[in-house]
Order: sequence, then structure tokens, then C-alpha cells
Amino acid sequence: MTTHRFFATSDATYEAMRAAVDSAWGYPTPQTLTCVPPAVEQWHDDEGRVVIALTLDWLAWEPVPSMIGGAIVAGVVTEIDEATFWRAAPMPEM
Amino acid sequence: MALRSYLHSTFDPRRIPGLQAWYDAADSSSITLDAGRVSQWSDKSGNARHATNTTSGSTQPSYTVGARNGLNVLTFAAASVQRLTVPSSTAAFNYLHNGTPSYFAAVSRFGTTANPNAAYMLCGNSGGASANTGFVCLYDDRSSASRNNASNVGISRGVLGQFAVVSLVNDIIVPQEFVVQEHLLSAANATASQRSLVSIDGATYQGANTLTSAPSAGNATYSMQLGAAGDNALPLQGDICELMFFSQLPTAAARDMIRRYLGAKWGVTVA
Repeated sequence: MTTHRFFATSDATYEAMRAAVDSAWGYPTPQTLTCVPPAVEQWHDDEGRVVIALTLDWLAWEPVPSMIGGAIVAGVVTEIDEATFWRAAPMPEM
Repeated sequence: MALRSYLHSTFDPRRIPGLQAWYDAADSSSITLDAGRVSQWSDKSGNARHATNTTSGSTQPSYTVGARNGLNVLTFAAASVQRLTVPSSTAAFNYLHNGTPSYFAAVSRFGTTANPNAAYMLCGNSGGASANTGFVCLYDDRSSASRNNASNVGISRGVLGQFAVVSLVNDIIVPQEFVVQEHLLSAANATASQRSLVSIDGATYQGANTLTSAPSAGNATYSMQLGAAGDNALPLQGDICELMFFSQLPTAAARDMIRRYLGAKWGVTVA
């Protein structure tokens, strides 16, 4: 069962989209500072791109779907598969 | 009054010396929800070490109502790297990694498949890397590393390639099942095997550490995370019901009381 979709993008694009969604949803609030973590806290792949997993319900809330759809068409966001996402995970020795 | 109810109503971990942090998912008053997801799990110890995630949506764990024994639990999805962080806590959990004899107990469930072939973090503040400082506790089922349903505890001392403790005990945790786990930590113990001991559901304590390097007296590299390793590594797929940390070793009688309280409350049979 598909529960998530996975994306990769540059820090700059990610931060621009994060700011746009925060603005649309009225963040920050006392309980919620932002819609997704800042790029600096996210995993990055070996090309230096932010990778992120988004739940399907989250992807249904505007302006996220229209924004991501447009970004994919513009070539600034790439949809990746789950294996690519996990390859970007921090590699602890444990 | 049923034994379960009696234990619920009479046991209070705050009466046991050394309690530093206590997270209880059954107590909805300790949970702050943000659009249906958990933005804060408040510490009931009185030390205000609340675990938070103020980023909306995907990285916040869910609050699953009545998931175990009629009680609510926190549910973490690994793909979304869901986690909670105790802010500015790099110095607050030093007893776990600096050699202080200490103890923590948890009720949790790991994985949503019979063979996860993955590692899922219960809590940690070292990222699991030897060059960092701190501690991690995880369920480890990575077949590529010869790990199978293991409890894995690592204590990092800030020296690359030289952990103070790695205690990997295979075939001890059944995935998809709620378990009561207890850990005795003593990272400076001269007897390596005693540096980290684990008991699942009240079974005999086991330890597998063979390392003897001295632990670090410094602060942890990261703030403590529940559901990840401090740097979001090895995120949890599963549930956390209750978690309590002690900066000293409770007596055997007190640990017995904690175990029975957790078992009765969460419907886990303990020895």
C-alpha cells in the first residue's frame, strides 16, 4: 500500500516552498513553527539534494499538490523512489 | 479492585529516587496535539524535559487512541522520520553515557511486519556514531549486519571507532509485539559485560558488551530524541507507550515494581 511519495530538490527550492506553505497555512503558530523541517535538518543525498517523504494526506492539502506539481514540471523538484530516499539516511555505525 | 487498576492507581514513579524523565502516552493531559498529530509529549517527572516537534504534519508522530489495552500510544512512521526532541537537552541525559549507574524502562512495539530487516530507534542522542558522544537504544533486525530481533545499546565516547559500549543481544525482541524493556547502564564498569544489561518482559538480564574504553564525561552531541537517534537517524517504525529514565539504579524491589506496573498497565505479561 502506498502511504508516501518521495521527492528531491535543492535547499533553495525547498526553503522557498516551505516559506510559501507556511504562509498559506498561517504558520508559525504557538504549536506549529513550520510545515516541514528546515533544509538544514533534512537528509541530503550524495548530490546534495534535500530528500523528503510526504504522506499522501499531506500531499492532498493545498497549496502542496499544485506547488509540487508545478515544480516537477519546471524541473526543480524530482520525484524519487523509496530506495533512493533511504540511501540518503544518516549512516550510523551502530 | 482488579490488580491492574490497583497498580495503576497506586504506583507513582516519582516516588522512586532518581527519576529524571517520564513519558506516559496513556495520560492524554501530557499530550499536545497539532492537527491530530503530537507536537509535545510532556515529561511527568517534574523536570520539564518535554519532548516536542513543532514542525507540522509529516514528521510528527500520531496519537493512536486505544491501541493497547484500551490505552493510547504514540505511533511513529519511519518513512516520514517521525520523532520528538527534548530541546536543549545535550547535558540533561549525561547519566546514560558518562558511567553513572542508571536505568530506563520502556513499553514499545517495533515494526509492522514479521521480519522488518531494519533498525528502529527507541531513543538516542549520539546519532549512533562513535565519533559523537551519547547513547542510543534501538531494535535491530538488519540481516546484512547479522542482527536478528536484537536489542542494541550503544554508548559513544567521542572517539572515532572506539565505542564505550556496544551491547547487541540477538533474538530477544519479537517484532509487532508490545514489550517491556528495562536497561541497566554503567558505562564505566570494569566488567565489560555489566556495562549494559537488558531485560525483556522481566526475563533475566543479558549483556553482550566486550568493550572497555572509558566513557566520556562530556555532553551528548545531540539533544535527546524519542523515535530517532538525535540526528534523525534510524527512525522508529512502531509505537511508544511509556518511557522513564532514572539517573541512579533503583533497587531490585523498585525495578520489580516498575516492571509490574508497566506490564499490568499495558497488558504485557512480565516475569
